[in-house]
Amino acid sequence: MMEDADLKARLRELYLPPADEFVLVDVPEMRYVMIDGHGAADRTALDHAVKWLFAAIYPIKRIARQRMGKDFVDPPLEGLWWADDVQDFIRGDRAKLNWRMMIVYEPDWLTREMLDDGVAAAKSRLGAPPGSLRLESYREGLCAQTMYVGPPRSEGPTIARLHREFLPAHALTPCGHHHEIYLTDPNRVAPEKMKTVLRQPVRGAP
Amino acid sequence: MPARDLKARRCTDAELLLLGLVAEMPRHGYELDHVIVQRGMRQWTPIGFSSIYFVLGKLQKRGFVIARKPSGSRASTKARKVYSVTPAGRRALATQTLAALREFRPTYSAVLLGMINWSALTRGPALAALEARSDALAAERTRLAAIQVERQPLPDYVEALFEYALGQLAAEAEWVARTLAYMSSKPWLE
Repeated sequence: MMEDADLKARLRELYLPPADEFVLVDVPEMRYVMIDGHGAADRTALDHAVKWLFAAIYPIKRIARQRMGKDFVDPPLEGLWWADDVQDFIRGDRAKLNWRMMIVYEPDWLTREMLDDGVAAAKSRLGAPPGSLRLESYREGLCAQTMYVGPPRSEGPTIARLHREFLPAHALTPCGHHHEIYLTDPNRVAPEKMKTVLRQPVRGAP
Repeated sequence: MPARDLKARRCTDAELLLLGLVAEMPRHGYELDHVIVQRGMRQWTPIGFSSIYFVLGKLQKRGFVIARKPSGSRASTKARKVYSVTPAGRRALATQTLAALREFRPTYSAVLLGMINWSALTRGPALAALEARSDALAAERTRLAAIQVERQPLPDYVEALFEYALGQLAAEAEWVARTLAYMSSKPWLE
């Protein structure tokens, strides 16, 4: 178990990278509640998945807040995005993108049973959960990341800079799904002030 | 009113609420109504759709918000105008929001009047009325908790707002239970 100060520093390192540069970070194995989907031309399935994730973990957040007090930090929504054909990803063809929406499920004393209870409670309001709703461990390892400040869907140039400048300059190649961490609520924050962590798993070039 | 008095005057609750929404981001008039409904803000502030523009007009006069017609649009209806905060508006919002957090403003519940005139009542109806209050409090707690779940995810400061309201209801429910227990067990002087 990490000490308070270490935990806070770790969270800052993972979730609050600087906005003006790319930094490397080693992301440890963590458990996530996740839901997969395909296509985001319209947001219906995506919004449904997000609603389900937050509904499922709602009772657990209450337990965690009670037990951890001021050490409890609300986990943000995260999303992995990829395409079967990388050109579709580069073009930003949203109809052809695959996504995985997820929320960190830590610390380790959170049990699978708690999540089952949360899902059962949400069923009464939301009906059957999406079939891919699950708890899974994910280790991203070495990643390059930055804080993107601005409207969603305009982060293309930042991602391009990562792939064309930062990675080659550091002899790194991408080796996993593009990862976004949504830190602001689009209903409450002006588009130009929205904060999103952009993260890319990498490995040393051969 | 001279301009300076107008500036110095405190915002009403409705003004502060709209100023806060406009300060989050520039919004259309119709959008403001939508957000007020979505966040259940009519619960706390008496603000109807038509009075939104009345309040925005007052904020405009005080130089706290500005209204712009969207470029290229000929329509000048209020609903299509975009309202945004001015630097003076942002300062006023911060000052008065801090005051709202800092100051304790007592609110008086009807139950206090009920207790003041308790001796005018007979035992049966008096106890039944307190029991009905207990049910009403439970129903309100259930209603609020359901809204809190329904509106997930909420920012932590909004969660805290729900916790405040639920905590007040819990404290009152405890008081009703204690008072009811005492009043039902003591000998009643008719």
